[in-house]
Amino acid sequence: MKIRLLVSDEHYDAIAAELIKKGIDIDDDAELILSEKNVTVTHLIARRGDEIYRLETKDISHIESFAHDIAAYCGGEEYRLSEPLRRLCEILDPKEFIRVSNSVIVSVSHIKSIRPALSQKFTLTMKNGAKVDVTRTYYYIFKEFLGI
Amino acid sequence: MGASKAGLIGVFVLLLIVVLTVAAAFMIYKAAYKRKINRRLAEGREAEIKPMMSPVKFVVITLLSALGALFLLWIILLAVFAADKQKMVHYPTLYTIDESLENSPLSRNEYGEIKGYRHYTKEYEKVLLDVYIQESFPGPFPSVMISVKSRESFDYGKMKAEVSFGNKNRTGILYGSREEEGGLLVLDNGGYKGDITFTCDLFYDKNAVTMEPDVSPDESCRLDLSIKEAGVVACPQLGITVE
Repeated sequence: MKIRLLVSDEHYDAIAAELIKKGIDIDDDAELILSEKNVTVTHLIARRGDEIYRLETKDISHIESFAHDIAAYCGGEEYRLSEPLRRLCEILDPKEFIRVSNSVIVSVSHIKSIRPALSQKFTLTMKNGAKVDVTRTYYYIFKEFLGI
Repeated sequence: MGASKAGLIGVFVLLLIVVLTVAAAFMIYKAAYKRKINRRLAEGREAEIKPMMSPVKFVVITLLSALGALFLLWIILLAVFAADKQKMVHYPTLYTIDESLENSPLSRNEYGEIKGYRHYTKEYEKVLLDVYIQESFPGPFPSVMISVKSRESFDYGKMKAEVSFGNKNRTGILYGSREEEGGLLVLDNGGYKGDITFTCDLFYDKNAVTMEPDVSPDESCRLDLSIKEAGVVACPQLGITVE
């Protein structure tokens, strides 16, 4: 049995040792996840083609959902994630990442500029050149998040 | 029709000004808003920047405020001019209709019955007064028209007409003259309600100097008109009485 650990660094070793003792392997690629409450991850495991990558969350610009695929944009490249968007909202640092639509999470530190639209929307220009819309549903959440 | 069209155009222009002003204010606000949120983005969430209302909210509030201010201004102007109107005294005006109306019902010697007017006649020794009193006041046409026609075939020289009227504040005299046969004088009461005395002195000598006090007229006509509310006119000389 393989399990992925999403816990704080201080608890990681103890929990990992305990699981290994019981015959459970720790694998970042596993579908089963054991996560600690109120703990945010500092990295995500992603794929590009056949290769697996470890993405630092501080390098991720934004994460976008296309049907069943979740794409993370990092360093100008596109990677595939296995976690659903809703799950990512829970494990990513809420002070750094914010959901701006039903299909996009952005990293605030990677926003280059914000352009308000006539209706209750914003258009975000990311540092990598990508444009992301803050939809009406998330308009006030985003405003409150930024304090504008 | 012309007045209502002008009024509509005026309202349209006013609304256009309001819309353009709000649009300009919105463009300026949007630019300031964009600058502020990007400054917040750059300085971080902990920066001391007060939140601003969204541009849409700004437009709605500005538009409602502008319309409210316009409405308030309209009420004030209405009150001011209504008060002024009440203080205004309407004075009668006396003038002659000249030959430019030759082919119209108001041309001289072609009066008869004029639609919209009640026709009265008053005979004097040598002249005949045809008096036309408007059936409903106020209207765009003169309230009273008086035609002075000679009953004999002679050319009378001059005619001096006067209208005197009085109210609590003022009494005035108006003067008009014709030096040709016949003629139509028009008395426009201008909204004035009260007693108006019309006198017409005729000088059969064309050379008579009517302004000289010692020159007496050869014939005098007089009508005492009393204009009541709703334009009802009484005149004892014409046999018109109002209870």
